[in-house]
Amino acid sequence: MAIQLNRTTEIEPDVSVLNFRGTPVSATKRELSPESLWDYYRKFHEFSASDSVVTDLTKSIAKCADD
Amino acid sequence: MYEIAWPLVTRDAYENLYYPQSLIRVKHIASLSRNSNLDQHLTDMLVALRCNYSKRLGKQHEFPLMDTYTELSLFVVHHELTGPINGEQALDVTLELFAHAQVPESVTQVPLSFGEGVGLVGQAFRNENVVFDYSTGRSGLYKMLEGQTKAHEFISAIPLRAITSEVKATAKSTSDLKYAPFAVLCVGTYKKCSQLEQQLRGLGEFEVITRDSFIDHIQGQFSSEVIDYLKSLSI
Repeated sequence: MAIQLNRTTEIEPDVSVLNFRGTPVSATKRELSPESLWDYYRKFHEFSASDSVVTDLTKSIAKCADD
Repeated sequence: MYEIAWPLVTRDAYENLYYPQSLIRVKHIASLSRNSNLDQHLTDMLVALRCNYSKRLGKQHEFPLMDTYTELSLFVVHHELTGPINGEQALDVTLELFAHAQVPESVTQVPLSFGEGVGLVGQAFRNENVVFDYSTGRSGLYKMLEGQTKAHEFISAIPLRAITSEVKATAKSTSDLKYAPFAVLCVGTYKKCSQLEQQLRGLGEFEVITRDSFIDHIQGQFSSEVIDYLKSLSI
């Protein structure tokens, strides 16, 4: 399972929009400082080499989104 | 698929797009008038935000995202009843500049507002998408202001939504409803090859980590702080 790095769509030359931003930030993530959020995403990307870990993390994030 | 969208909906249709509690919050905010205390408080929040991102976010984060050349502007929604048009009450929706963390090149045009759908700010608000513009003024969305002589090298417009927690109790089917946007934060720079542009546009792993965590922080914690302050104000 590969993480999609480029999530932007160019809508006209030199203007792009960031995709998949329709969902609200979960209550858990709203508690995190900039440093903690950065660390959270860094760990997520580090684990991305392993499919099983990504699957578990995806489930955890989906759970967070339901908060 | 992205479409340039314009606010061609009736007032009833607009009110059926969003969770009721979220919309109530936005309506309150949209009726606020600017004053010096409000402007100062929000400007302080922007300056604090720039300060937070002017340092490295972790040991492996090589360069800070922002610096003293990073300009931040907060545009807040404003509603004005107009019409009736064809027998229906119309709502004029604009985004007004409430706070501005300036840089030397900043244009200090006040009052400054964009209609919903107009310019980067209006598009980010209307489509509820994060918009990046690196056209240095050549794009169809970027608007040069009166007195502005230099375009931004990079600017991003990030919509903020009024997230509420009580929506699951709503009797009506909420599957198609959304949280209503109440503001747009613009983060930009006039400097070439800035870290802001490289890290928000970059495709490398660390750039993506920084971009995603930054957007989540703005649309999460920062947005909550702004809305908590605005909802505490009386009309």
